[in-house]
Amino acid sequence: MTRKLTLDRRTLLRGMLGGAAVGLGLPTLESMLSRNGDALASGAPLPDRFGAWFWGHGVRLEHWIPPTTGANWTPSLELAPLADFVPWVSVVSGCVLKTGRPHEGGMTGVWTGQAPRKVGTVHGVDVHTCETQTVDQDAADQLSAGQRLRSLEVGCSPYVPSELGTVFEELSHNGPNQPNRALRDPSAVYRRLVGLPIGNRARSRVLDAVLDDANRMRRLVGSADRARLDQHFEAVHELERALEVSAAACTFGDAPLDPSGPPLQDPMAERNELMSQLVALALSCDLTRVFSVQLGQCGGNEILWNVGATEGWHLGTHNEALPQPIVHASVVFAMEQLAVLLRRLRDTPDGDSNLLESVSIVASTDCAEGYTHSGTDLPVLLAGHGNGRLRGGIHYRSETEESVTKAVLTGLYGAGVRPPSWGAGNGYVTEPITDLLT
Amino acid sequence: MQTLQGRGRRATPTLWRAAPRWLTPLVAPLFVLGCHASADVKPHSGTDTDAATDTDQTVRVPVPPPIGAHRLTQRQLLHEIEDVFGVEFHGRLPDDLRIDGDPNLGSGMVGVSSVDAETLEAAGWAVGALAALDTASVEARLGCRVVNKPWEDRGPIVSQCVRSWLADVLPRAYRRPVQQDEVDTLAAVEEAVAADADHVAGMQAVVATIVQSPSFLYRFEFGEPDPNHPGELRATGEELASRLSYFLTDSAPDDALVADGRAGRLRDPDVRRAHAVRLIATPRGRESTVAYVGSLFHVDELPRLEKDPALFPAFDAELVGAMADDVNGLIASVLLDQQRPYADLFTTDEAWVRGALFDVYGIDGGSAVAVQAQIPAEQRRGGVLGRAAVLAVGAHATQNSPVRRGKLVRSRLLCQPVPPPPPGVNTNLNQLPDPDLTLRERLEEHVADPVCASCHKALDPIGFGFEGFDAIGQSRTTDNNRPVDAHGDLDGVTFDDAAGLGTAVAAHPDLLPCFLLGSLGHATGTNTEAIALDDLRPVAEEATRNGATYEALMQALVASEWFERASPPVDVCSADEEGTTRACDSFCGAGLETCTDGVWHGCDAKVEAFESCDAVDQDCDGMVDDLVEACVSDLGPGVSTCTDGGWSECAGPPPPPETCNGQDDDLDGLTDEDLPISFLSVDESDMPTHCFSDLPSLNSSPECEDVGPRVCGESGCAITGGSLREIDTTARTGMFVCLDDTQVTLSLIQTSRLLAYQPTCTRVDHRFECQLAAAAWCADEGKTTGFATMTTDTRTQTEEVACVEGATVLTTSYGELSALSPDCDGVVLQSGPACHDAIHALCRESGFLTGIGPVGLQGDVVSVACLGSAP
Repeated sequence: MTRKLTLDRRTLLRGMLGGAAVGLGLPTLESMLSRNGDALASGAPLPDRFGAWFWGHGVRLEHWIPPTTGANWTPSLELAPLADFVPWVSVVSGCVLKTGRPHEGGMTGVWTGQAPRKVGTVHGVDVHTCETQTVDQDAADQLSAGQRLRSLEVGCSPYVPSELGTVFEELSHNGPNQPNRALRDPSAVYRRLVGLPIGNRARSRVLDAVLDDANRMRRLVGSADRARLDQHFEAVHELERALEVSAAACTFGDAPLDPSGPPLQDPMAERNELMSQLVALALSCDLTRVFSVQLGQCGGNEILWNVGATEGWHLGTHNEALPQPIVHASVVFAMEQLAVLLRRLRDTPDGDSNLLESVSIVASTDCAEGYTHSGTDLPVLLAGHGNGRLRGGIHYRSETEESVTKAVLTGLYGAGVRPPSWGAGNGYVTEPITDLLT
Repeated sequence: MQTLQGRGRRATPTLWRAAPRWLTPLVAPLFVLGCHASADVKPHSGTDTDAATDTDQTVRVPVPPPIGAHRLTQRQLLHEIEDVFGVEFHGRLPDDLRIDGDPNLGSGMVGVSSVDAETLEAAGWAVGALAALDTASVEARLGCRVVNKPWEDRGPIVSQCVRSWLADVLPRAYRRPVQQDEVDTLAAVEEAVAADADHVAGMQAVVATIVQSPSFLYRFEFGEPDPNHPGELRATGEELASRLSYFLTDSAPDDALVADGRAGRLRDPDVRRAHAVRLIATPRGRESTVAYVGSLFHVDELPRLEKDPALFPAFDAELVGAMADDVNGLIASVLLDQQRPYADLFTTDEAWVRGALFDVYGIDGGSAVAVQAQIPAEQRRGGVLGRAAVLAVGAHATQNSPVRRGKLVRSRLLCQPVPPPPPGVNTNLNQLPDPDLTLRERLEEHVADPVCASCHKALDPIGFGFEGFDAIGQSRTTDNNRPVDAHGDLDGVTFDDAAGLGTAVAAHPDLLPCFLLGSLGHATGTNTEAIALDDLRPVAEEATRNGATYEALMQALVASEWFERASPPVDVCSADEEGTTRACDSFCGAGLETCTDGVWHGCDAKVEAFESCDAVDQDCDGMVDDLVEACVSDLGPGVSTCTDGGWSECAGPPPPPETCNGQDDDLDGLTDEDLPISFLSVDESDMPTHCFSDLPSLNSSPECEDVGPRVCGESGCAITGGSLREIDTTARTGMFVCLDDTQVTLSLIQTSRLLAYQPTCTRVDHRFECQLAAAAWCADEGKTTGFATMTTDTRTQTEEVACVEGATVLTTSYGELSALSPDCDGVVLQSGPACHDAIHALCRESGFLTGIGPVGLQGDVVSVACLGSAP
């Protein structure tokens, strides 16, 4: 059975220009669903899905924390763009990043639950990667077994090598120095979703032979390189496993055009619009059940010309005089971009519901306030209803300086992934925030 | 090893490739700027380090970079793809891990993630499609024909051609000897994919495999014990060849280098020097030099630069391109073409100018391509640091960044580390800047804060030297309507402007050692933090004696011990494990290692290596030697095998089977022998031209079919034949099946006998009916089936019939036949070449050599006759 889903360039552009929601996916066909509509006819439940959504440089806390706690929170200035989505979004405040200094430590603290690994020092500056795979990959271990793509990674600003190690550059990692590079061009994401125009039998034979070589070489090298080749082996092996999965029947329209802004000014919002559509397409077609979106880059210096910035976002958090109106406007902009994705997911049917109902998204950043690099009161949002696991609409304010990893673990629970513990060292937690779960 | 938290995580390998912790008590850090409130920045003494002077620790022991595998950088992969497969690839490859601007530094630690594996798979097939474009390109690559004619079986020949190609390409692709089973694996991939499609797809699959294989993707170094430094390693001869070549050309070593490496000649520093000179002068050497030196000045960041369009309307993609051309042109010209000292880069007024850059530099003239020019001396730009490209990347979107510009000089050019602001410090000025001050005045105010001052005092006075230029490198005399002040000092040497600063940089005692230290990291592809500037000073002195040109510096570096030395791979252990031992293994067996100073040391398992042809089982896979090399035999491309230390005779493809062509095809001394069923190619000299038409109505006409019995009979290999098939309209040939007297018996019978079976047989346009009649007659005579040869004698009213007693009659339908050959549909065509092709294919599928017919037609049931057994 074929589910025809098209991503049409003209539709996309019209959607963008008009600011209107663009209908992308068609509903799962009725005949595939059981009578009550919440499960496939085979009896399998609707898919669980996990997303990680990152923006850099923290927030202006005075404009961020909602004035009310508990159910049906009142949007603060910086959360106002999410006003339409309060029932789907819980805000976690008061939690603390306990795993080292923000930026690199924020990236690993939030997304791996532990401190970064130092891999060297260059000209006096430490270079870092993460100790383990990131939370999206933890989710993928459980959720992505039957999907063509283990996970989908997209970025909304051009990739800039931080030159300070992988955690500055990418959210998703399979392990130390194994970043899953987010694709920053919508056309490249589109090509990834469409897949290779090569027959599965030929691909499988080739991957088999590649694994043969990996096996041969791993026996020859020392332990550090062996671990590296083992990861390589596992990545290739997974590609091969994915070939055995019956391909999701998805029909694609024309590839989207990569956005081009004014000369040498990158159009982040336009990229985000297209990436959000592509994420919805991938989920709707069930090509993957795990995704991550990086609005910007950790420590990145994207210039948000559209909010009046004339210097990089990161620099601005250090250079702009308090109360930092441009930094504040940048956070509002970030939440507008998150709202674009949530709207897209809400408007994409899934069974007799929509994607926002099934997904569990952890949205967070790498520090609480950019100008102090503070890790106290690190913002976390949980979005989506996680197939009924997440209550939504709660502002949970920790009064006991709980670890921010508790909030991330709660997001995993929202996707039905319930590890006995998550994180390590000071980030080690065993319990989610139960107030946010049904 | 981190304790896993029991949630299905993958293993967390130790990928520590930096300097090991156990070194820290002994190793003094490089000169680190004292960024704390009480310490003034210490001018660099040029000879020592903090720790060596102010502690009583033992003498610092420099540690060479760790040995290990390097994932080829994008530049290197592109070169490899071009060198191995002869194609230019422009698609996506996994991103490099750039550390401090250098992709080589990350190559020693970066792995292949899920997304990287996907990227590589797509790249592999894309390269495959370029390398094996079509049949012609595959045949050119393999040096043999890969398309079977229906009557041929070239399988064994093609297979040997593929193996010979693999034996030639794999050692170059993998940069090591390859073993028999590696060739077998890839040949099997080719065969399997070719069986599903064709040899074009098969070869694409082989190329796709090679590109994705770790052996292609990584440069492996194992090292060997260093006799001069017990406990340490040094690169082997072949690894030295690779190091030299990848360092200076980002490419695999050529034959001359490999030969010198294998023979041990690269241990001689003079041989390394000579190769360095040769490699730098190659086109790849030039490209790599310009890219590497340019990256020191952040030129690679130019394309991502954003500037405020309101303030800098001139800044556009065109100007950015011109800026890059300028610095790249300068590096190529000063360092390579003119062979001037490296330090001249910081003082020269030479520029490479095009487009709007003429205005930026105040040079009269114009050009669309970068041309050599002199910047007017009054601009006071002072070499490469005062160029628009370097000034623009050292500035923000709206204003200059003396911090960034200063940091480039301190950190990248002089190797004086500048740490980031300490954690917890409020970096915000928390006040609105005084709008009437210059940038310099505002920064100097900032630096009044002692916490900030310690670092800023090391950076800002250098960066102030460039205040005579704005954020895209245009000259200016005022900032915020106040006169620019560009004086400053560099480690005690004062200057008034960028030109003065350039002179100070050029004369700085750390400039050359720092360039060499960075280059050593670039060359070894790993962190050199446990080596100090002082260790490179003797190398710098040697280069200085030879003019301190780029060539002299690189010669001195590759000739130095640092280029050879390496330390064993580092695997970190915990404090709890200190002093304990654990089992370790290598490919060749088990051993023990001990946790000492936080690192597992001294695994005594036998050292592993790649196999070589010397009667020793180096890789302990139980097979001695077992290597293959490509060679050429009398019959075409072949493979030579190493057994017991020696290479075998070249095994070429098997001789082709004997065919009926008057030649000794199978090289057994006999011509056209033993061919009960043979295939005979016929061209225009023996057949009417219309038989070569691609119109079935023409090429199926009786005159064409009638040629068969005659040419087969005249061939000397058979007594008659038939079944014209495979009309090649381009080569203008057709093919007949010929049968000798073991297969066929000829009988002259009255034509009336045939009429009894098919009343219309006599009419010229009803040959098909005559064929059916002859077949039926043979069957009735107990001779299975047959065909009419159409040598009708009108005088005696006789017909020659050929009976094929040994044939096997199969029944089929035109539906099945048309599936094999569309034109044979039973309506338009009931026989002729299209049907013969279908019958041949059907018989092949059933295990026969070929077939003739149809030999019967009863309603929908078609009978065909299959002959011989399949090869």
